[in-house]
Amino acid sequence: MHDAGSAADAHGYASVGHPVLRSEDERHLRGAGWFVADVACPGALHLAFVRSPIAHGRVKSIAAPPLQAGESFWTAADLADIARPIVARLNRPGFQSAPYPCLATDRVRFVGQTIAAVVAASRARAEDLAEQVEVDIEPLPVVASARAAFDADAPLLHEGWSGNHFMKLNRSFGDFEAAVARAQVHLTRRYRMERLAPSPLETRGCIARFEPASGQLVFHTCCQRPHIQRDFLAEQLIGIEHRNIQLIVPDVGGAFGVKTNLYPEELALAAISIKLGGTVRWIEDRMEHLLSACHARENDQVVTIHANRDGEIVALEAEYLVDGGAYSMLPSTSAIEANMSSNVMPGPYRIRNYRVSAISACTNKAPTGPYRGVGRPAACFAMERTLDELAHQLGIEPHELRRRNLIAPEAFPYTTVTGLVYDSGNYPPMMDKAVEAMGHEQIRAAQRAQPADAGERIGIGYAWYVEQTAHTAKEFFARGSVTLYGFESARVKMDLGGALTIETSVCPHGQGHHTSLAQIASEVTSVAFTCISVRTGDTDVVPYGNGTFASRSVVLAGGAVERACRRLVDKLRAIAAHLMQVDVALTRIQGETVVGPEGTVPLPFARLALVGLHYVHELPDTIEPGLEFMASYRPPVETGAFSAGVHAAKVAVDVETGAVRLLDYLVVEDCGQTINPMIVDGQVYGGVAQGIGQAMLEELRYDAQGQPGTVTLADYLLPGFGEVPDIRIEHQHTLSPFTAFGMKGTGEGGCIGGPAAIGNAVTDALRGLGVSVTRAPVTARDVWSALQAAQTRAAAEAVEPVYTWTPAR
Amino acid sequence: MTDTTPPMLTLELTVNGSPARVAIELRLSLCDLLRDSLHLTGTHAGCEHGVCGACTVLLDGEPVRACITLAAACDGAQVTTVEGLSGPLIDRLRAAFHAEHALQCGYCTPGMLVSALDLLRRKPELSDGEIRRHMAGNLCRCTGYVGIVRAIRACAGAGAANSGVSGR
Amino acid sequence: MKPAPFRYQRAGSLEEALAIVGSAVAVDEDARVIAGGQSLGPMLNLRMVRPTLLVDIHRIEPLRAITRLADGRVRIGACVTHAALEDAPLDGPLSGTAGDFIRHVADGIAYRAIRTRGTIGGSLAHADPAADWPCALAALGATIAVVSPAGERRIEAGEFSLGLFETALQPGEIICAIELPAAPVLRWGYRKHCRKVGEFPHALAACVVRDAGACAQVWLGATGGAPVSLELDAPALGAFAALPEGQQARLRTGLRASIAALLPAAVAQGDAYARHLHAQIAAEAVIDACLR
Repeated sequence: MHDAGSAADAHGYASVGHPVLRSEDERHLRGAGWFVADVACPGALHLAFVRSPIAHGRVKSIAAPPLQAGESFWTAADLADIARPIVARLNRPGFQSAPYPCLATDRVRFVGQTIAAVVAASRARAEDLAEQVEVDIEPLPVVASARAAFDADAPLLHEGWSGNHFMKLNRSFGDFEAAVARAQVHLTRRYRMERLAPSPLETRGCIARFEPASGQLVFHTCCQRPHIQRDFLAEQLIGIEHRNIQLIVPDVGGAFGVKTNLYPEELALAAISIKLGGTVRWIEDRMEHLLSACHARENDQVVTIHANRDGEIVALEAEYLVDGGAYSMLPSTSAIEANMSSNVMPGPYRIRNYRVSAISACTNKAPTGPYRGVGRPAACFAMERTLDELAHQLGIEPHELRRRNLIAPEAFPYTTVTGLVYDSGNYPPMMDKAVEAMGHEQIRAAQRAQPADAGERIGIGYAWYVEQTAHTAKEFFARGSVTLYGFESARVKMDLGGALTIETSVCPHGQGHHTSLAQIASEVTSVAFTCISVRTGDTDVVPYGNGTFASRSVVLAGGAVERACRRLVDKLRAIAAHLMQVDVALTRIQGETVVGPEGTVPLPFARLALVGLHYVHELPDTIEPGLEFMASYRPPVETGAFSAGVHAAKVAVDVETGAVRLLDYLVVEDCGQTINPMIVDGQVYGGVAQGIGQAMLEELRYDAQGQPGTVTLADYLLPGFGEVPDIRIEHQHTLSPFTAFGMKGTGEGGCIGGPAAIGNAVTDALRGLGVSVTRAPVTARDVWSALQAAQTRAAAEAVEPVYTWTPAR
Repeated sequence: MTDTTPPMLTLELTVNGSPARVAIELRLSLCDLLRDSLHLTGTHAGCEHGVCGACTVLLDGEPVRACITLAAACDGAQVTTVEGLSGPLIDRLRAAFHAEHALQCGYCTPGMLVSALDLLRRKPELSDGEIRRHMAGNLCRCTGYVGIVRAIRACAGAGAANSGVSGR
Repeated sequence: MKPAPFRYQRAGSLEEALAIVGSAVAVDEDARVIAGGQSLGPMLNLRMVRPTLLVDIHRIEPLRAITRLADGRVRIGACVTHAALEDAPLDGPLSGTAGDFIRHVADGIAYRAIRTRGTIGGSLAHADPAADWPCALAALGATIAVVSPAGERRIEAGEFSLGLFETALQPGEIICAIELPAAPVLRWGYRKHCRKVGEFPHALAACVVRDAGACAQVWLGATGGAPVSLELDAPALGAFAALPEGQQARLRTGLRASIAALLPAAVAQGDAYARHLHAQIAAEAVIDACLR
């Protein structure tokens, strides 16, 4: 169990590039993981929320339940003097903000919104009381879809707004009109990507403990960004300073973006704990999660590709309409999906003329926010589905059409039409690899051999994506972010035994940072992997930084660890050089020793640590005592390192039931230098499973009254063992010129390509039957209905407008 | 009914080989009994309605969903949680989970181990397809199941035989 | 997600259970019998049901037995778990083709950790339209034995489920056993359509053949209400296995069409896809029975 790793060398050193087994595993395998719900909090009171049963209404009165000693009841008025409403902003012209109160003040805007809170001795008792709270809500007309948000009679959802949208943007790049005029083929398609619940297996949850004597708030929560979350809490709480909050993040049971936001529930908990002067605990249940933790996607798209007959894309045009929900989440806002999808749509292709409009609509549904992939699955779905349609229309193999448009290897660094700076890439060989590994020609031969009335048909589909990773402050600033994520940091300490402890600002939730970062430290210092501990997730312990999100941790925290370790190594060499009385330039690290020129005795790290920490009288004045080194890492180029991948799916479609079976799924990925290829594979596998979920199963449903129809895991289907096939991965390593070791991030890529690759494969299987996939998830019902519809009409190429709003151009 | 005192019961059972005597509210689930009353937090609640499998434990040797099993119904029973699993097969499973990167965040892991252990005890010979079908009651949101299938495969049939470990 | 408060009593015998339930009924108390609790548990946690009293019968030994009666019938106690049926030995009371059918159905219910607690009687009493046993046992021609202080009465399985969470059980009655007919099962087919493994099915069909010749009857489940039985007039099916492939395909299509035509209007009202799915799954179940 304590094996340093399968790839450790004879001395137990396990460094960059090796599939070292994770140091995180052992405690989880014993059941000794420590999640927020596992934090012992004797005497804690439990909190349950009263949530809105209707999608839109005016709260007229709230009556407290009958309380017993020690129980308490809270409404917005009780917290008004301590908790400010959450306001998420974006520096974009026309962006509209609205306050999101921790408990509803006068209006409720989605089913599940927090209205009041009850605190009692147990969660069960708190739920009993919450049921007895009488809330009188006058129903108001409901906006149940993004399209309906712009109906003439739609109610305005937030006072003072100019319409029901968080953001509207129109952008044109290159010489769009001229390019369109020049193009020989114009192909328009519309798509829809449904609303998702990120659904980590661990729901949200937090424990707030206010200590009146010290004025300190100790806040345990499962989040992705400890320091940022602490900043947000401090900004929201009146009379509490940043330094008065210690935010502790224990093990996090999956997050995927949903745990980056500051939620009303967390703020309410902190405020009530301060008011009560005690410990209050709230562990979200699954129904609450599906109702009110941030949702994602729900993106309607209209795409036009203007191309030449040889398949060259001349111009690209897209409209995105996102259902952003009722409020903006802090900090990423409900514009995140529309912003990202419109910005990244050109992907790996040489597209110089692009026009896009994107709207994030405000509706009476739960707020939306970041979920692994953000915007990219939608952009990829729209782009890659349309490329297949174009390929089919032009009679070109889809992979060949893509090859003709891929950015050439010699074009890097390449600035995209929307201004993204791709650091490096080598795309064409990846396409070749995918085609080869999928047995493309064999699949085509098998398709030709299928009888015309075959009950089951096979198909193949590809999808490309480019994933921006490890981008920092300037890039976020350019996008209009108010919160900027500029760096990560690490403190490396050597102890008397010559072992290392690393404290770092990133905050993992399954990514294996403790392993990867220890590998980097081992690489630089040559301290054995097993002698390196990593600590994360406590604002009183770890240095300031941003956290774990946006596929950036290994690059940025890895960069910080590398830098701090180099400083340590320099110090060890300086001490050794002094003790050996030689020039420092003549020393080097070998094993866990510093070696000098011939005739000197190598000095083990433990000996140098003794001098550096205790026997400091042996040091000259020019060398400061101590062996702790802090470094932060802000990449020299802030536009990020761009990973890329192509996904390929092979499916069988049952034309009688519409059921789709995934026969094969391949990912060809390139994330530069990998630190731990096993962990990279794990990220890809997990991402692909989420992509498959989105492609085939997951969908949050609301009815016309804004009532959610998916509030349990029996309704909201997550992919299981039976739905995810044995995924294959092929690697390529195009180093980033901008990062330590040439690393690139890779957290999100896996989930981007699924809907597009599977959508393309299903469409490919049903070619000739007049069916093409336009919605994710693609369900058996959809496929069957489309087959029925196709039988009764000729396939119409004409595209109806997707919504009544016409973008101003 | 104005009396809000919840109906209680004193329960006696054996958990991980040790006797336990606990006063419980009648509505308490086995999951909450283990976690809150006995502080065995290795059993995780993922959905509390019997779908995700994170809370799977052994009750009288059989896997059950602790979240939808009433604690009161377990009077006199033998309960084994992830903390109490022992023996050569679970040792091998744990090692295989580690070697095959069968966990990331670790939240589903206790339930996975319990289900996998039960499966291997009942069906030492398993194809990948059978592993996938029989493990379908446990959800993982991180790994895509690839590593978990490999880990179980490594402990099944020939894999187990090669290592000298068999399913009891 | 915690249940509303309730009282809980564990009955040591059927008589005791009847007495507890009887006194609850007498004072109009909302009492529920619970065995494995695998259907009731989630509903309690979600507060979709809020009984004030639960009467636990899962430890009543006679209800956990499977026995072959002298006349050849098999009596399955109401508290026999799905797992016990899945594992029922081939040389025990559930021998033969009927046993194979029972084992197959049990093996496909949800997940093992549900099957180890969930019981056949509980599934019947709960009467979720998407559950397996109401349809499977109807197709098998089983009889449900229910008891009350007044004694035991028998209800045909096909008449036991009345609709969504609705059964022929009278207040105070408890299911004690399921009895399978003595006549041997020749062939059977059982199909369901789930969007994912172990999920509640969206269409479900069972066809059990006891007489040589045509597969005459198929039962459909997951229809939103009680299981539905269809009588098929398809004598050619008897010889299905022996037909050449082309003819089999034609017969398959024809069977689907005739089942679709027979589907009562109440099945998946107005939902063309769901109705198609039911017809498709039912036809496959019938053909499985012909081929098996």
